[in-house]
Amino acid sequence: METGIAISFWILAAVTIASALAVVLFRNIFHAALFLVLCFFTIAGIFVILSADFLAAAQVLIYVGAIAVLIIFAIMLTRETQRGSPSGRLRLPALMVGLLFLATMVFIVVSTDWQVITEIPDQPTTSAIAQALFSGEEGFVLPFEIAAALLLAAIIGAIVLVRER
Amino acid sequence: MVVGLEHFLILSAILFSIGLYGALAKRNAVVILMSIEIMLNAVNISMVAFWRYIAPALMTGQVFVIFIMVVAAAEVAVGLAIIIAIYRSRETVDAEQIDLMKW
Amino acid sequence: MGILEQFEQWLVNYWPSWAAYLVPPLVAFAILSTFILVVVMAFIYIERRGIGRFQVRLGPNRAGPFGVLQPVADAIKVLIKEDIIPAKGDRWVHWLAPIIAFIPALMIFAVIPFGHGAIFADLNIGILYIIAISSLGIIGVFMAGWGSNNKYSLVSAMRTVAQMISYEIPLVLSIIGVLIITGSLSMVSIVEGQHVPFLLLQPLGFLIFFLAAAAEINRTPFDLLEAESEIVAGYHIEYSGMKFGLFYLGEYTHAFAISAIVAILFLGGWSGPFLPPALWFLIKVFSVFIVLFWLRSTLPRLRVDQLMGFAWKCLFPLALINIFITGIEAIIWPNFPWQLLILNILIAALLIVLWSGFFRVAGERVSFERYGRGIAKGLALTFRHLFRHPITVQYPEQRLTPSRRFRGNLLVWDVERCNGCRACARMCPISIIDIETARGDKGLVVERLEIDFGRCMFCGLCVEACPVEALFMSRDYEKASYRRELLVMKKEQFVAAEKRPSAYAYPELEAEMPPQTLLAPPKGGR
Repeated sequence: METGIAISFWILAAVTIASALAVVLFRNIFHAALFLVLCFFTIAGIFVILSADFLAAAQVLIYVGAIAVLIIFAIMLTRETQRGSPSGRLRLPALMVGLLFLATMVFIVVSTDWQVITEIPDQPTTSAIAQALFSGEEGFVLPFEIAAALLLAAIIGAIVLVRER
Repeated sequence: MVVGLEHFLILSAILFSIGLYGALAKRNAVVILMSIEIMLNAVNISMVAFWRYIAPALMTGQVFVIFIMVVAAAEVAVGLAIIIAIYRSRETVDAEQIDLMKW
Repeated sequence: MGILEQFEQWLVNYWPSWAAYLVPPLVAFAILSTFILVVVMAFIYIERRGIGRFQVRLGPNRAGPFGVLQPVADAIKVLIKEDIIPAKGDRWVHWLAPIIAFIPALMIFAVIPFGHGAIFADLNIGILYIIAISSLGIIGVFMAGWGSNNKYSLVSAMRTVAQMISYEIPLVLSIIGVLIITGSLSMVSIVEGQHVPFLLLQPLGFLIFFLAAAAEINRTPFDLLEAESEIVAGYHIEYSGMKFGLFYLGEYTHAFAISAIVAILFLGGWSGPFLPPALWFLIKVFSVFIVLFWLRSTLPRLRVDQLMGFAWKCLFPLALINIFITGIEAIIWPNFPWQLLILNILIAALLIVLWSGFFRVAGERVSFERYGRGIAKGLALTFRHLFRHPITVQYPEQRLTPSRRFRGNLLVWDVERCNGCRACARMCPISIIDIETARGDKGLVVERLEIDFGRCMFCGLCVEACPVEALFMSRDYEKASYRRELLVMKKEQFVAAEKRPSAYAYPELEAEMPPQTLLAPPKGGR
């Protein structure tokens, strides 16, 4: 079981990083969007490895099924595929910033002494998430309601922005 | 080799850096949005990893991921709407050409 | 615990752990694919025959007894056809699209229970997994539309995205009613929680789910992305051979999956008296599928604005109301006694009538007559068609007798009467009559006569032109050949041919000819 998880992790991590690189490096913007889909999907796989099954399904449902499709839709609507996705003048500084950030993060992660709990939480997460979201004092009822309001505002805003007059 | 918290965090950091590079270096607004999505996903991975390895009893990590997803969905909807509105009026989604407000 | 895990634990005793980890999914995949292939072939056969009967036709019945081998014949045809890639298409995207459209439909079956414990993986997020996975299929369709480099394909892809995203929302919301009652996302506990089939306890949810699911798998009232009459089969224009076959297979696999999900969520899954559970499950799946293509054979395709309006103005608010009502019921009667079904059916009927009263599509009000009773009437009509005698003519074996005055496509030439005037050849508007004459004892004698029936358009001008009535239309109407030159009739053939002139030329023959067969007999049957 442990080896299975390790094998899956390395494969998924490699595919995730490769497809994320493809998103930012490919000139064909439609291909970049397809690799974004692959990246989201493998991240769902990583959630499964982390035994967050509800989040994995939500990841596929929201990111792959909605966000990625919306992005592809926008690519079609803006017809920018011929021009592709070239890099701007900031390419080298951006590369430096990215590498610097990566180095800092890796240094922090490696040097910190994490208080890791080794035993695997083996109960399904769905009801636990529901408890955490909706239970009275310690729950997230108010943020949940605010999120709902935010979504509604976003929907109305998007409609108003792209509506043809 | 046992996979631990560090592996997930480093994966998350790599993804975040890639997203950061894309968001800074790319000129196409849609690709910039895609890079931002990669960054948000990187954060999600680290959230879930922290939940799994540091505090499995508290569901806060997962709940935060759900809120990030909500915000990401809202952000993409509004962001793409803005990009399409700009494309309608200026015929381009090149972030370096959308510089009317620059001095 | 699913079969897969049991198999894995049994395998660990004999094989190394990595093999035990990898082999069960592969074996499961092989078994599942074979099973799905068989069921899909049955689906294709049943659908084609069934739609035929719903439309008073016969359906395919040539390959094998009753045409049961038709799907096999189709599969062989698809396999050996040439595989075409559009010249300026996106090669890789074009190649991957059918696979990506097919795999998610297959992956759904991992969590579908076929009986007690007969499930590959009893995920506790079962139904959520299904919804998430089935939203992947859009990507495949989109890739097909893009990779084909064809504007119709792209239009179809855009329609798909709009349609699928719109119908996914009522699809998900309508399940929530079921989930409130069972309190679990696992497919097995949803089946076990149904003492009364949820079809009765959640009638509104069932209707919304069924219609949204029919839209998700693009069955005919909602098949705008294929729409042969507008965008010529949409995203599979540029697909041929095995790749088209994969799309076709994926479509029916998805239909199988959706029928299975409906059977599990609303019809009680495998539970049922007397018969073995797996058989009950298959019976339910096939009944759902039959209703799906019954709808398909009855309803015409919607327009794009009607389609979107139906999702957003009708299904979506009704799904929200359904959640609201179920939530209230969950607070008042937490155990959901079976008496509740009367209340729920009443509420559903009331809401449907009310909603069709003030719901507008494209500026017009949709009356209950058109959207409620109208559909019911149409369904009843096609159902009655099932019991009518099909009007199909089994052509080479069965032939229709044409009208007595029918002017057929062959000519009857009377050598004794012909005076060789060549008026027919001159009159022929496309000059297919080739006639050569020579001077004989009593006037002109025809030496050579050739008529090219491959080009003849049966205008009858040659018959009209003949001054001595030596040329007539016959009553035969079949002239076919695999070789072009056999369609050219020579003088000898005309002389040797049996003379069967049409009664149009010889009215006195009319009495002894058989009466015309009518396809749709007047009242009283044939």
